[in-house]
This record gives sequence, C-alpha cells and structure tokens, in this order.
Amino acid sequence: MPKRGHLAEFELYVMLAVFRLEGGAYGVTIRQEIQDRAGRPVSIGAVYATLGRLAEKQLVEFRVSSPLPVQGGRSRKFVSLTPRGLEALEHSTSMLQRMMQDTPLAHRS
Amino acid sequence: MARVPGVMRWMLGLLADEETGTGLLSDLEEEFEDLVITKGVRGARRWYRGQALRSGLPLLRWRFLRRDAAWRRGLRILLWSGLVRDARYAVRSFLGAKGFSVVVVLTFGLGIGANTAVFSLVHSVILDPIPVPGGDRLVTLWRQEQTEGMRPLVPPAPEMVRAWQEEQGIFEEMGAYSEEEFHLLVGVTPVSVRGARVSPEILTIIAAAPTVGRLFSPDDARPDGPRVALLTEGLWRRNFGSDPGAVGRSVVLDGESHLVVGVLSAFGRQILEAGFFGDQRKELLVPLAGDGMGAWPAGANVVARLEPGLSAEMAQERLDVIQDRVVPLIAGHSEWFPFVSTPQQALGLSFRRGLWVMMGGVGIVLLILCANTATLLLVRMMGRAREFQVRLALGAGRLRLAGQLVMESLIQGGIGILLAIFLAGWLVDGAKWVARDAVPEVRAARVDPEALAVAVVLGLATIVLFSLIPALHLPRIRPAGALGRDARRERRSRVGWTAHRSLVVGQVALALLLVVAAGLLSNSLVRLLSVDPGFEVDGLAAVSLDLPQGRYDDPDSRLALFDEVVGRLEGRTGVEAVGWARFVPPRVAGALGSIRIDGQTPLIDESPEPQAGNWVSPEYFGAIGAPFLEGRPFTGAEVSDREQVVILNQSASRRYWPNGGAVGSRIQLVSDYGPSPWLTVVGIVPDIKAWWLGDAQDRVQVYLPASDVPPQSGAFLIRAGGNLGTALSMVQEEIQGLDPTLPVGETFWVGDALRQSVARQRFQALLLTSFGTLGVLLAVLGVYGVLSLSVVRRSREIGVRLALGATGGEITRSVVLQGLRAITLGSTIGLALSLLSAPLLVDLLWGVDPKDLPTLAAGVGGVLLAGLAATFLSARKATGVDPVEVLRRE
Repeated sequence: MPKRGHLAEFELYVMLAVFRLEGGAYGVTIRQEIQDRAGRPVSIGAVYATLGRLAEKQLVEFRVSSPLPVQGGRSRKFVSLTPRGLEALEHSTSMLQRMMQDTPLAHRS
Repeated sequence: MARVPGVMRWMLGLLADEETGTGLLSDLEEEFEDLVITKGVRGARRWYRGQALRSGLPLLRWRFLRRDAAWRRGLRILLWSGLVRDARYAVRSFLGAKGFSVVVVLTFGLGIGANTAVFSLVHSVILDPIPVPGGDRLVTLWRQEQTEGMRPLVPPAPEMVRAWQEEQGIFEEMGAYSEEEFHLLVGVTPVSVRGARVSPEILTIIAAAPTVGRLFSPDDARPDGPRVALLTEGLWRRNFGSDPGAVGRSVVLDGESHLVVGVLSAFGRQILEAGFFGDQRKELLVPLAGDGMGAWPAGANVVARLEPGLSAEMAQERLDVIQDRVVPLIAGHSEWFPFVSTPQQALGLSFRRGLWVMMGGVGIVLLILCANTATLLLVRMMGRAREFQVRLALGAGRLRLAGQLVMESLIQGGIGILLAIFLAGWLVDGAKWVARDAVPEVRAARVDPEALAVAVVLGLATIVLFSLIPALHLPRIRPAGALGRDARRERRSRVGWTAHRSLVVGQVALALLLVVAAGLLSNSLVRLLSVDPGFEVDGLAAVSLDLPQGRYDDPDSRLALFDEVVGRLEGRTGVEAVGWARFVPPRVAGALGSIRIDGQTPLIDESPEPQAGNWVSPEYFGAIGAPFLEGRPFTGAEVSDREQVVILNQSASRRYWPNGGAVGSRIQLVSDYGPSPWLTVVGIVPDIKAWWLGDAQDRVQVYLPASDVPPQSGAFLIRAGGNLGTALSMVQEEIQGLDPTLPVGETFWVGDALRQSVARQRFQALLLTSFGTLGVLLAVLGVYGVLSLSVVRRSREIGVRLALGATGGEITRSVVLQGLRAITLGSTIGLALSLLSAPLLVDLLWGVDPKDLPTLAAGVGGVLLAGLAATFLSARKATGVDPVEVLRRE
C-alpha cells in the first residue's frame, strides 16, 4: 500500500460515510451521516476540505449531477470512491480490526 | 423565502477556492432551507452562521496547504520549468532593449560600485584603520606635558614604559618605533631612503610576513645585537631587482655594514605606512635596540595592543590610577600625565566628518538610483503593456509573467553587480592614488568584502523589489485590452501616477542637495588653489639634503657645506636664484615659543594661532621671490657670526608694532628652555603660506639665521628653468663634487607641494562632484522617463487634441509645464534640504559660507536647466503622436 493511501481519522469517517451512502453521497448527506452516526458535530467546511484532500490522493471522485427538475433546483456534487479509494478503505479498516482483535474493545462493537 | 446570512456566505466564498466553493455553498443552502422548515428562520440562520464559522479554519488550511496551492505551483514554476525558459527569454529581451538594459546595468553598477568603494574607504580609515588581527585594540601611548596653554603629546620616557609594562592586564603586547632617514649605499651610489627603527614586537603586532628570508628576532634588538636590516618589496624591486640573493648580502647603512635578513611583504609595509605608525614612507627597517628589558630609547614612539575586552578609555583609567605610583619612579618628569590615543583620534575630526558627508552623498546617490530604477522599470512596463496583454490573452499565467519580470531584472542587476565589483576595485585604487599623500590611512584600504556583500544584498533586494512593482501592475492589465479597445483604462491609475511624480520630485531634491554640496566644496577648492602663497611659486624647485649622523657634527662644517653648495650653484649658468633653509613651505616648523617684545606691555604675546618658524640663509628670500617690505635680508656675516637678528612677517609687524617701527626693535622667544637672547628685527617680509594653502591669514612667522640652530638636514631652493631633473642634477653634481658619499634626498616643485597640501580638499571635492554629476544624470534620466511615461499615457488625449487643431507648441507647453511643476517642487525641497544640512559642511569648507548664495543659485539653475532639457526631450515625443493612428485605434 502506497504511503499516500494512508487515511487519517476524519478522512476515514468521510470515506466510510461515502461508502455507506453509496450513490447518494454529497456534502449534505456526508455531513449528516457522520454527525448522526458518530455523534460528533461536523462543519461542512471540514467535510469539503477533507474531500478535497481525498480527491487529491485520488481516493474519491466527483460527479456533478444535472440540476434537479424543480424551480431554482441546484446541481449536486456527488462523491464516490475510486477503486483505489475502496482499496485504501479496506486496508485501513482491516488494519483497525486486526489491531482491535483480542482486546476488550473488540467486543463492544 | 428565507435568505442565508449574506456576510457569512460572502466570507465562505472568500475562504473556499473556486472548485470547493460552489458545491459547499449550494449544499449549505440546501440544508439551510430544510432547517428553515424544521427550526424556523432564526434557528436556520444560527445554524448557518455556526457552520460558516467552524468551516473557516479547515477551508483555509485546505486552500493554502494543498499540494497544488497556487503559491506552491508558482514556486515550482519559478524553480523548474520556468526558470530556464525565463532566463532565456530574459536574455532575449535584454538584448532586444539594449538601451534600456545598458541604462539599468550602468545605474546599478555605478550606484553599488560607488557605494561599496566609499564604504570601504570609510571602513578602512575610520572603522578599521589597521586591518590586522587585534588591530582594533591598538593604541599609541604618550606623555602629556603639563605646560601652560599648549599641552603637547610627546613619547613616554623609558621608565614610564617599563612601569606600565609591569602592570598586569592592560597591555597584551608593546612595541616601539622611530622614523628615520637612512643613507643606503648600493654599489657606489648613495641613496637616501626613508624607513624606521622598529622593535621586533611591532612586526608581531602587525602580523607581518616576510616575502623572502625572515623578520627580526628578539636577539636582533639587543643593544649589542647584530646589525641587520629588512628591505620592503618596493626597495627590493627597485634597487635589488627582486633578487632573492639580496637576503644574506651586506649593505652599507649610514656608513655601517648591515646584513639583509629578509624582505617585508607589501601588505606589511602598507600597514606600517597607513598613518598609525607615523606618516613617513617606510622602505627600510632596522631593529630598534632596547635595553633587553622592554625599554626603548627615549623619543621612540610606543604602541601597544590592549588586552582583549579592554577599551582605550579603560586603559587610560588604569594608567591614571597607577600614576601616583609611577611618578616618583621617574626623576625630572613630575608634570605629566599618561595619554592613550586610538588611531581614530589621530585623524582630524573634520576629516572624519568629511568622510561621513561622503557616506551621506553615496547614500543619496543610492536613493536616487533606486527611485530611478523604479521609474525606468515602470516606464518600460507601460511600454510593454501590450505585449503582456497579448500573452495574458494567450493564456500565460500572471505568476509566470511576474516571475519573468523578476528574472529579467535579476539578469540586468546581476550584470550591474559584476560591473559594480570591478568598479569598486578601481574606485578604491583610484582613491588610494589620489589621496595617498593627503590621507595616509587609505594606503591600506581595499574593497571590503563585507561592504561588498551588503551592497550586493541591497542591490539584489532592490532589483527584486522594483521588478515586483511592475509585476504588481500586472493584474491591472486586462487581457481583453489587447484585443478590445479599452487600453485607455490604463490611464486611470491616479495612485501610480502620484507615485511616479513623487519619485521625480524626490530625485530632483536629492540631486540638488548633492549638486549644492559639490558646488560648495569645489568653490572652496578653487578658492584654496587660487590663494596667493606670498612668494613666486612657479619654477621653484626644492632639493633636500640630509647629513649622516656622526659626520658634519660641527655646526660650522655643516654651514660651510650648505653655503659652499649655494655659492657654487650661484655661479652656474641657468641658475637664476638659489638659497637654502631648514624647511621648505608648506612644511615649515611650528611654535618656537612665545614672543616678548622689548619695551612693550604685555611682554608675552599669547597669540591665538601657533607661529611658524624657519631657519634661512641670506639668499633664501631672493630665491623664493618674497620681496622685503621693510629692512633687509640677513647678511652672510650675520649668519656666520651668529649675530642676534631676526626677520618677521607682515602679520607680526602689524600685530606687535601697529604704528610701524618694527625694524630695529628687539624681541625675545620664550620657550620651555627659557628665553632666547634679545633678537634685533632686521627685515619684514610678506606673509607666506607656511603650512598649507588654507593657512591662517594672520599667522606670525619668525625667520632666524640658518646658523642659529644648524640643521642636520636642509633643502636647497633653486630656480633653474622648467625641468626638475636639471635642478636635481645640478645640486647633485655640486654636492658630490664636495663630498661623493652624500646622497641628495627628495626633489620636488614647491608649487606641487603647495597644491598637494590641499589634496584632502581636492579628494573630497572630487568625490562629491562625481556624486553630484551622477545624481543629476540619474535625476535627468528619471525626469525624462516619467514624462515619457506620461506622454505614452496621454497619447490618446494628445492625439485627439492634435486632431481638433491644437498646435505642437501647445502640446509641448502642456507637457513641459507638467514636468516643470515637479522639478520646481523638487528644487524647492532640495534647497530647503541644502540649507538644513549646511552646518554639516562647515568643517569641510574654506572661505565659503555653506549658505553661499551664488553656489545655491547656480545649483538650482543647473538642476532646473537639466530638468528642462529632459522635459523638452520628452515633449518632443508628445508632438510625435500621430492623431490618425490614435483615432483609428478609437
């Protein structure tokens, strides 16, 4: 695994949120997903900054949707994991799991 | 429909970069709208504000730390791909605009070169006069006599030196020297060579190195030590053909055989001649014999290197403290104090101040230079606006263009700095040559690497800064302008225009300040050079003769020798007049004592100016062409019979006998040794410039018969046509005819020596005049540049006016008026600055008021004229605007 594929904590959260949301991941949903599941307040700026960094590492990619078919409808910037992003996510989570194995922490999850 | 808080939205837009911004804002808006429904408008707005505030930091970090952040990209471009390309392009554009590039290179070279040179001189003369390790801790030790009025400094007595040496922790090293003139016999021709007796410690102190052989060892300085000598490189080259075999040979010095043990390096000699170790040239050294315990013969000058961390003031205090203990040790010297002097104190205050004025001058030139370069770059930038517009329109990055501008200026500045390095070397050498006699301290001067480094760094900073100024203008250039028609918008930057005009005003003001200072100094120099020396200088040559010690000890034999030579010379064809004297103006001796006038009260005259004295032969006044105002010269009998007679000058006559009757009166000279016999005044001669051309008007001058104190050395004053060599050979022939072992010393034109006496003033005037000229040239260039720029900016307006029927004259007038306003303002400021800085110049001027009206007027007039010329040149450019072309562009 190349070093640049290594994920920081918040990056991992964002990646997991994108993964969970499947096709529906964009700024709003990612922010809400992390906030709801992790129970930690998240600013939209942090989400975007992290997405930018992940995109720079080629772990996520953007796809701008065509505007919603309502008046004043916006286009959304959807996020999805690249194959490389998926690989990095698997690597990071399995690493985490292996580290937690056989510790009292492993039973709580 | 509720709106998101505008300020917050704006702030976020500012913080986020373009690609993040749109998504982020639209997402926030989407959530905001949902929240308006669930939490109401106020709740939603509060949420939005919270989001915005908390997003700031992550967004900023993302924006500026990301790998492809704009500044990182710019840096990469600058460092890699761009650098090489930019350099190539810069060289092309350098060659493409030769005139401009040459001007930039020259201004840089001149400014930085001159700055480095003058700083190096100041550094070597004032800040670091003795460039050897520990040189800043060198002092000279004196004994200051406690006499009334004048308190002369004399070398300390040997007992004092020994007492000081025994005191721990003051002096690290002590040495002594005395200047001397030797008679060197190489082959059969005797030559007179200046040199010194030095203790071996002196050579240690100056960290001297031998070119060949060795230096003196402590054994050489024992009283019964071997007779050895050191040559210096110059003498070795001239008289020994740089033969290494000269070392080990014997030479005859003052009639005694000495072994040459080595050759002193040129640098060592430079240090010895740099003013601290006396001001005489030193071509030959012999050991100064001590008593083996560190005490040197009376009369030797004592120098010392202080212990590290000790200042001259602290050393002085330490010596003052032990004074009470030292005084009883020394018989016969009760009324004295120790005095520690630094090399800086040895320099005149006025000279030091003069050098700072020069530094100021250089600083001003540098300022003008900077302003000028800025102007030039701006002007060129405007000329190239179209090029940049096209390149921007074709997709060139602004950073690239800015980088390229920097690169171009760096190349120009780099060449300029190279030029400056050479120029600084030449200028320092030139200054050393010009001032070698006036300021012995410059003899050890060389380009100071630190000064050069400072100037180069300053230069590079200036270059980068000024190439960035046009680069800052880049964003104002609209790529569309090149393709569309809104080039005229360029005109609208009032702020930039004001900056240009202030640059011109500043340059003119500073240039005027320099010109006025240069004018004052030149004026003062001209006045000095046109001073009437009081005798006929033209064609008067002086040939000095120094008699070896141990021979001609009998005063009568000396007198006979000089008189015989004069007698023989008088008989030769081609000799118009000849005489001899102890001293030759402007190197006449100082105070002979106070003067007591017979039959007058007060008896002792406390004259404010020290008097000058000389011992002269009967023919002296005839030879120098000074007519007798009253009375007569000495007669031969008066000289040979040692009669008590004296000749005074006009000032003395006026001062002591305001109603006349000087001739026939009697005076007494009262010195430390007591009063002289009563001397009868036999003649009154005009005042002559005894010490230098700027000598005080009313100095009392006393002439005694040459027999009175028969000198060990004297000089023949001879008029024998226009050739110095003829005079020398005539004197030489006659002397050799009488005594073949006698060498003649220096030969010089008295007029040259007098002119040389104002070498310091000449040096200062020359420097400031070159600064002034440089300053005006630069300022003219600046005026021209800025006005040309304004013409370019106004070309549309001018074109339209021409099309509407304005004449060329009207256009010229408007441009000239515009320039004139700036120049007049600059001149006014410059004039005020000149008047304010006048007190700084007082010490440097002779016979000229620092607020001298004609000089001020001439300076202002000159600067105005030069400025006008520059405005007319740029106005001609304005009338060259083609209205058809301008209107077509519309």
